[in-house]
Amino acid sequence: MRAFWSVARREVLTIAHSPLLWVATIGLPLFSAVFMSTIFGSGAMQNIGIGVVDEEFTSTSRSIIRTIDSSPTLAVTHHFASSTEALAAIKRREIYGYFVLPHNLTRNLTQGSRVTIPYYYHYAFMSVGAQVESTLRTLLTIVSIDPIVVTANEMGVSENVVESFLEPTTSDIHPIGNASLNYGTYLTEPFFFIMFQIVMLITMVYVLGTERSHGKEWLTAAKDNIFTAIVGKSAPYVCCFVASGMAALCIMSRIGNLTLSWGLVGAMVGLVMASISLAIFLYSLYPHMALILSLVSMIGSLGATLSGVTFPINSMYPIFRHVAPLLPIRHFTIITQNMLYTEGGYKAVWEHVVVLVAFCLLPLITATRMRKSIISGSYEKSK
Amino acid sequence: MRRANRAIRLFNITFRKELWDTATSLSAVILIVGGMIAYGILYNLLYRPNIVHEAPIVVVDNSRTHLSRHLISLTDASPSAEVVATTADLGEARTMLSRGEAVAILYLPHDMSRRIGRGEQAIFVTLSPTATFLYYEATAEAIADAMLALDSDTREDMLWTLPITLQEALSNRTTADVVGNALFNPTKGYADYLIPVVFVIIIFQTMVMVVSMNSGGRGAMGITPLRGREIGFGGRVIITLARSATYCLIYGLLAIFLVGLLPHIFDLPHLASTLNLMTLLLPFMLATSLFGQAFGRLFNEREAPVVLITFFSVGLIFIAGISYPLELLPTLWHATHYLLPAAPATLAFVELNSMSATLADIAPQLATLWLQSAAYLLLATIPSHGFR
Repeated sequence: MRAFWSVARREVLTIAHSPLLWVATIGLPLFSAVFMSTIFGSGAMQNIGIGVVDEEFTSTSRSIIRTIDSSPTLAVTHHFASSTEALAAIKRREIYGYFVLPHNLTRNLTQGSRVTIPYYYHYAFMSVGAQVESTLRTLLTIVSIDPIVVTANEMGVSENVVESFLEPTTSDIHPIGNASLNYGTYLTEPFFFIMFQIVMLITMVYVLGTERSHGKEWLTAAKDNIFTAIVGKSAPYVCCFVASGMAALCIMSRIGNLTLSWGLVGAMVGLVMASISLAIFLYSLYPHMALILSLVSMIGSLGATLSGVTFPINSMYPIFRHVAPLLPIRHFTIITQNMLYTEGGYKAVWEHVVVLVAFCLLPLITATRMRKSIISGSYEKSK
Repeated sequence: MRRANRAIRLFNITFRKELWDTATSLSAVILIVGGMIAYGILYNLLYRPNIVHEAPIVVVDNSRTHLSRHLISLTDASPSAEVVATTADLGEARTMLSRGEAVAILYLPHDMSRRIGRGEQAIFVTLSPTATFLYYEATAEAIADAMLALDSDTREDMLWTLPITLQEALSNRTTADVVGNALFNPTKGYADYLIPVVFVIIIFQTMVMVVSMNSGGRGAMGITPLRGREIGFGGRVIITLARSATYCLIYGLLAIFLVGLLPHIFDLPHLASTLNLMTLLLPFMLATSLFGQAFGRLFNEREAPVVLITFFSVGLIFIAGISYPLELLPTLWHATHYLLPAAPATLAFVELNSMSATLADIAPQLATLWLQSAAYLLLATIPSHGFR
């Protein structure tokens, strides 16, 4: 136990005297929590500029435009004489979509002729494009029956009856966990932890790598016991990152929309321990700091994809479904999404909790290899 | 004349030395080759399916009528969704949701058919977690399409609700066809949207890492053959530009593979002409290499810059203005868009490659990149103290 405290005290002093480690363990996690909580502003895409090509130019078409404009998501900011003009405006990013109200729209609708209302949206910018698409589709479908309803009304049929006839079914969609489809709510929490995992992996490899200039000092402090050495060295970092993680969760719940829970805190502690263990394991396999730093920086960046937040893992090629579980962030994401979106507890995702804990055992596999490399001084040269 | 010769000689020596140092550094080679080639291929393979198909849906069918079964089959027929289970128990469906076996619940209430029989609108409910937006969108699209088809098939059954005198007049009424068209990404593919962004960020991330590692490495090894005050400002500018030329050459060659070849192999948008691409990549790579040199001066260790650069690269995707509209970013983050070369370059690259923009269209981004180059050249060479 004395050896453990000796190693841990030595590491605390190292952190205290290294500005880079202060930045890495405290500064970067807090910065990323603030960054992810504020980058999307309110998070709700509102008043997205769109245009209209009004070929009909009647009171009905003006009424349709007013209805679209009154939606909180869209703002009809431009009127164009042709689709060519509207397309040019989209290319200049003045608008993110437009719709066309064709000639004789009202007459064709009331006479039962086939009518098409085309709308266009910018899909090179997917998030804003998807928002424009869904809002325009919903609103245009609703307003396009208005002329028929008006005509039917004039013929003595009530609004309800004709609406039920034209649209016999209606769907009510409930987005669970993010009722307002807020972009910030969707991305803030998972992307913070993706960045958090990157900084933990890289910091631990850097810390282990810088031991090369101290010879066997680390092992000597641990009374030549590699397990004490590893646990004593990682303990201060676990404490620092858990404290930063707690502060970050508080920031995200105060500034952002995150619902804080003890379950989330437990998962965060699991991620911290698993990430630090993975870094120790990878470095022990081949103790070459520059090389492993390059490797973990790539692995960490892949977390953004393999966590499954942006593109579903099940929609990827089967091999990636087997590769994704090799990253702690994948299991952490499943656990937290289960808590935040389906209100499930650890019980529903116990397999992922077990795997996250199992990551902590990885350094045991390579501990003797690490000891040998410290004793033989086989740490690489700087290059 | 003698001064010009000396300048050319200094440029030549520095260029060759930087090329040699980079080529003989294992970590630099891994970062460059791994980043530009392995990463380029890997990301394409990861997102290759491009579109989300068959989002698993569990149906809670409390109606159990011909109408509900028809809706279930219409939903299942959609390429966007797949009905993986049908149950009468909402609790069971919720368990499937929390275990990740389904991504949405389609709840069909018991009075669905009865309402149609009464001439009222039948209401059904979709419960869909938003943890993965692409699943949410796929589910919403599949159910919206199924509902439209169901409306069309059911309308005839509702004809009796109209007065006899109006039945003929309204029987052939249809709602308008509201037809959406995705511009600049007609397949609505995720890879088509994201991979061009990733290409630019890969170039930026790996180049800054290599440049600043080399710079930090010179500090760590105490290599100061180029004493700032002795060589003067002009000399420092030549040395800095010669180093940038080295990285621009290396990355320029590899960019042929990354942004020239890969889009053709993986059928990604490739609307930009070679000349337009070069016009963009030159100031981007120059600004990035100069940024790396200025950044690397902050460190006296070879590996220290890596800790910060990898971390910040993930956030770049948000300030580039692609995943979230630039106009909606808060002022502070909007301003950072103009500070880092990757942000305007990403925007311009997407405009050139996916939207067939002209050089005139991306003139603001090109101007920003050239201004950044000038600013980072000054930061990399001034002050003379610490120049190495």
